[in-house]
Amino acid sequence: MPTHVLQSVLPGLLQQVPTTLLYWFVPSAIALLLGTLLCIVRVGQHRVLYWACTVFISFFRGTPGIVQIYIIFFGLPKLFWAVHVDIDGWPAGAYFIIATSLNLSCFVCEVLKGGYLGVDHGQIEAGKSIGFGRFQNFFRVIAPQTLQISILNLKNLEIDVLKDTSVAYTIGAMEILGYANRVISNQFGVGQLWILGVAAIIYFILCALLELGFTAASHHMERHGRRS
Amino acid sequence: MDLDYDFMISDLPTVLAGLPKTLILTFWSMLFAIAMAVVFGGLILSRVPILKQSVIIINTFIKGVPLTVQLLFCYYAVPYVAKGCNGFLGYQYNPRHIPYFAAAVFALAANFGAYITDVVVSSMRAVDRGQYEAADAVGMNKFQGITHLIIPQAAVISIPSMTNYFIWLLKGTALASIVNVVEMLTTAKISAADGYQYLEAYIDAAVIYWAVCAGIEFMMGRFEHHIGFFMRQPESRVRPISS
Amino acid sequence: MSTQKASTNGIVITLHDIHKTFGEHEILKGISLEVHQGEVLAILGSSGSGKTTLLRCINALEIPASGTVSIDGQKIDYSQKHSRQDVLHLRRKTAMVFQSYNLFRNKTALQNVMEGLHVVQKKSRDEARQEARKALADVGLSEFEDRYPVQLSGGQQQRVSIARALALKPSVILFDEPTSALDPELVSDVNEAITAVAKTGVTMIIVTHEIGFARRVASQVVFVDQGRILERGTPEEVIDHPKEPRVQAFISKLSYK
Repeated sequence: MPTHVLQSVLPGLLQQVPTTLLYWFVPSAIALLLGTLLCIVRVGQHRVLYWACTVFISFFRGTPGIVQIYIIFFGLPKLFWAVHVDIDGWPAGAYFIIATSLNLSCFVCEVLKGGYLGVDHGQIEAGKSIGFGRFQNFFRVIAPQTLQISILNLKNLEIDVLKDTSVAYTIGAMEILGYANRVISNQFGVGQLWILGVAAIIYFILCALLELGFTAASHHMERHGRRS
Repeated sequence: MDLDYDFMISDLPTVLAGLPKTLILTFWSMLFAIAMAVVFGGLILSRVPILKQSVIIINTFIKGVPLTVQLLFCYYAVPYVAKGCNGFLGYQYNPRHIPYFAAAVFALAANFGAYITDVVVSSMRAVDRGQYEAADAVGMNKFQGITHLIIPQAAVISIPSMTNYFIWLLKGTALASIVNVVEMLTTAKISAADGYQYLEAYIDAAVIYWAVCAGIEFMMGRFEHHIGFFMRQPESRVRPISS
Repeated sequence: MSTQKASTNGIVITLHDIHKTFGEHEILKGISLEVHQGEVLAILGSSGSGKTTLLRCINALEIPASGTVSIDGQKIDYSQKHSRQDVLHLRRKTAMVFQSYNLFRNKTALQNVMEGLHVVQKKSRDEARQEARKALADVGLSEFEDRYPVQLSGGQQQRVSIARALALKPSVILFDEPTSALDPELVSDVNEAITAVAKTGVTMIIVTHEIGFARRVASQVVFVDQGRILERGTPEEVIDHPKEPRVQAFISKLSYK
């Protein structure tokens, strides 16, 4: 085992972990917000908004992520240029985050919608019966219960987001896999399988941590008893 | 916005020509993924001690590593593997035609096979217990019961999930463009290189992917409607809440 | 929140010509009703008669197609445009006890009762806790205040639900078949709690098919059939000496003293 290769590569790979986590966290936060908004439209009655969202969601779920990233990467500057804004200085990671946020929000929306449809309507009516207004009912009854039902599906989504950060290097945003690739090409392909193996293990550990975290959160939420 | 609309229209057939390659890649990967899932799923369901745990460990590892990493790994590994297979079953190793396509199929099949294993297992488990008893009652032995009754029903139960994963797999083939495999995204990239019309080419590709995926989902809905009727549970006679 | 303040002639609730349609079926075909301060009104009827829909129209869980609902001075005419705020104000004069209890699953019994007091009536945490404790004591569940609904029996959950409604001191408490979902041996506990509530003088409207219980606790009885009120009067009048043949048939089929 070429330990010297690994010794020189491992610190560098680990240094990329914060960036990877950033590329995971920021889209997740944005998508949670945006996904909730989309979900509200999708379970609501407004005709035009509903169809606009349906098209939006259908696009992001029906096209490969890497194509979306490319389109945002090449297209966003042109879009801004059309309104006379120059975003040439933006780092590649920004495009990745934007593309991932838009993409993820569609999946979050569908997961939340499923969760919302599973909320026992009696709970919502109980909230109404004690006089909750719409916002109060939403924040105190609907949202917590939707989250509880959806959390395992959200867990799977989030693990996918973490793994998909490895696509960022294709537009030049450096993270774990990008760094591994750079090392490999610098070394003319010596030890590339080992390097990729180490990178794989790092991703695996991160995913395992996510899995444990979400499962713990799920158990915590269900400590009052599973619904039905 | 400054888009070369003429190019977008003229490039469409060019990019479309890459679609069959994408579909072929998807089909082969799905085939091997299902094969792997059936074998692994069977081992899990059979509850053979060490094998079942090993399969679960392997799948857990596969599911925890990004597809890109797996594709790149296979990409770098395949020259060695191909060299090692030289002479095996008449295969002649040719350093000028390294089988990157096969490498991509392997990576995709392994990745999706790990997920589809869960579908196989849960579909088999979802078949109503009463069916096994019915098979016994008619005098079938275990093997006959499983092959004639259980597996067909499990297969139908699994259709929605399988179609979902098929669509995921189709989208995943786009990543194969990173590892020297010619499929639709690569074709789009190549067609754009001359005039730097990347955005237009990618939009074309996106539209085609979108149409194909939406089409598959639509067909799946209709198909399930026809085939799935016998899988519906009998409507239970629920008393309406007295008003 | 106004408690038992009624209008000058003692009428707390007025329903006038309520109509409600579900899809193609008109469930309520013009119901008019008056409930006085401190009255316990029992609504009887067979399934499909519209009695639960009627109850839910009072606190706007169902929105009538037309007609007016007036509770303790707050009035909505559903034939005209009405705002969400109007509905909210009307609803806040009521409290409901559901057939399936509908306690908040992620809160203890005490928290369930406190919720409305603290969040809606804006009382301080301590004040809410005190009042909640008293309400739970009134239904005999003080030792269970830290239990979660999943740890309580159906009867206990329903009593917490009653406490939750009581604590809000509404102008009227609505009961939607409060014992229908309970095992028979738990029914009497809940009926006892409801009787205790009635003794406090709160205005109550109960939809029930327990004729015996209605006979004991109600001061006015109304029989709903196919979306209309067929007969109304005191329990003695409607239950003991029904005039309408349909009511007679209903009572005789279900009566068990």
